[in-house]
Amino acid sequence: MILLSDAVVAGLLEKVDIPDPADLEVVSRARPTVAPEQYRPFDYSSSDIPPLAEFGSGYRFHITGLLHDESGAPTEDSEVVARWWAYMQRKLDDHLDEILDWDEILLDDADTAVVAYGCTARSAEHAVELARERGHRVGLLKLKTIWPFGDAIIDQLADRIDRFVVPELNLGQIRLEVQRVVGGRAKVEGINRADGLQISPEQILDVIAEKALA
Amino acid sequence: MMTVETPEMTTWESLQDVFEIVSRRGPDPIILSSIPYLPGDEHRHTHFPVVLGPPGRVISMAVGLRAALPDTPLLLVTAADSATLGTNHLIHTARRNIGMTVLMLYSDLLETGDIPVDRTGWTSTGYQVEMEQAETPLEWAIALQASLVGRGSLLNPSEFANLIVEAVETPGFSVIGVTGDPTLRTEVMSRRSDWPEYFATYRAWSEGMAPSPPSSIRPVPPAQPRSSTPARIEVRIAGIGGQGVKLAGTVLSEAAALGEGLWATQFGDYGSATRGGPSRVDVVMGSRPISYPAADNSDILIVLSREAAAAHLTHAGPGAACVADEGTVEPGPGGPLIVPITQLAREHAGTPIATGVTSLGCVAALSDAVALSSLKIALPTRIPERSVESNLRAMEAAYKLTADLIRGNQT
Repeated sequence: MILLSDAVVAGLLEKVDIPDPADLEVVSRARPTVAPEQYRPFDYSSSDIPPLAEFGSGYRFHITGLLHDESGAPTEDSEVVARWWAYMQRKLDDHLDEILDWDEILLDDADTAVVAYGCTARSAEHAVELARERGHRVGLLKLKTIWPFGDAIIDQLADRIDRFVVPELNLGQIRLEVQRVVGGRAKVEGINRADGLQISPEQILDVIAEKALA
Repeated sequence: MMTVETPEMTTWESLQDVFEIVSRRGPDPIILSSIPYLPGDEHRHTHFPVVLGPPGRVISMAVGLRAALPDTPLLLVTAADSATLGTNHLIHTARRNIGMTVLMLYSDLLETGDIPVDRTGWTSTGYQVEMEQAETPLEWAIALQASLVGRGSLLNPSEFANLIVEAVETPGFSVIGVTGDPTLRTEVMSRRSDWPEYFATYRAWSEGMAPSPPSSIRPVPPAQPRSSTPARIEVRIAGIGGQGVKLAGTVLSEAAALGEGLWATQFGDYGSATRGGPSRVDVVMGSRPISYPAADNSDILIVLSREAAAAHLTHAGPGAACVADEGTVEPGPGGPLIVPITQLAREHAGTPIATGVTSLGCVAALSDAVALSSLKIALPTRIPERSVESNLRAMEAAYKLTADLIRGNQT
């Protein structure tokens, strides 16, 4: 997993609501039941979440960022490497519903959907608030995971949305994914900026409002 | 003392023998290594828990393990990478004296030819002279006041194991140079028993953050703003670095969030702004969660320098309440309120660093959203105790002057 950090969010102080720890469900990782010498921490043959021994509990094993085998030892054995990637892909496919995450904001009656992620999603949310005040039927799809791409939600929206607006702090990346899934059913437009500044709510609002003028 | 000739053993095998001796004296050590492929290494025969980490970074990984496992010996196998690629980790961990034992292998053991491990050629003066004049990583560790610094030899596993055990049993951060050169003396080069174990403090903090007991979390009132508070109020304070602009934003946002129960964000314009360059902070607060944290359309704008006045006053909307520090704009009708903010900061707090905090008095006078009393509660958590009273006086003076000016304008 790669967590995409963001200078705007990192430099921001804000109030957050922290839930009462007592209200949180804690899932404890299973501990090994086999003898230490038989323990294989990355043996996925019986479970996608194999038992994990605590360090210092007598189970001795390797932890590494290099590609490793079931024992945890680094390996360049192509068979083991292929098995590992096949497993990772299968695990990803099987749990896609739990991995993909997004917020749908004011999309129920919308004809225009802004698709945004990261700090740009905050500009987009404010733009949508301002656009709603001016009577535009616009909503926001805020992507919290961007890869694997959430094909299903875009596919579902494409049946009822006329226009997707994709603001991004690059020259257009996720826009291409949206275009791929929409497949011509709706208009897809990018708002792109690569000058070190944030996309402002006004910049998004202007694009949303263009259609009303057209 | 037993001395053994082990020409047929690889470095890793020799180290494992040493670790075996260490483990017989106490709990299983965890080995952290930034050297994945030592000559002749055979990873499958794991005698210890091993964490392989990127060169130079195993020290920071060990900090995390230390937090989770207060009593487990942590032995780090590194080359000069922990003094070069991991310089900052080494410095910060040594300064905080976090308990771990770094084994820094001399280059002869890693068969890297004549690449020197000495970090020489430092020319900085004045600042941390002792550290910057240290020529080798071990002298450097001594200068950083590590608990124990020494040199051990793989040619003498028993003596080397004794040294490691001493390092493990000494609270705090230890560095041991590891050599295979029979001409180098093995010794303890520095011991410091007077150095406090700062990690105990870190551990106490982390325990305070644990779910139990929940009462240890500082309670924050749920957002219950007065019904008259708008959904969104944008405040921008702009000046130059060294005026305490960011601090002012932090205090204002905390006063809004904690004192008034509002939603609030503080967003600074980071960059090279430390002293003298432009500095800006945006605080957005209101009765609803804040999406966009920038004050592009400020409701309240405070400018504390000529540059800030030129850059921001022209963009202020027609409804914006603007205050300019004296001397930053030409006074005239239709212009901003002029308050001698820097002068008040100097007069009451004795320093221009208090200018930002002083300007919060103007903000309180211009808006009902954040009361002066909430600012008074928020300020002491953010500045040294000795400065609280004088900063509050400056803030109150700015409040009073601004309120008088507003009243004067109304009559």
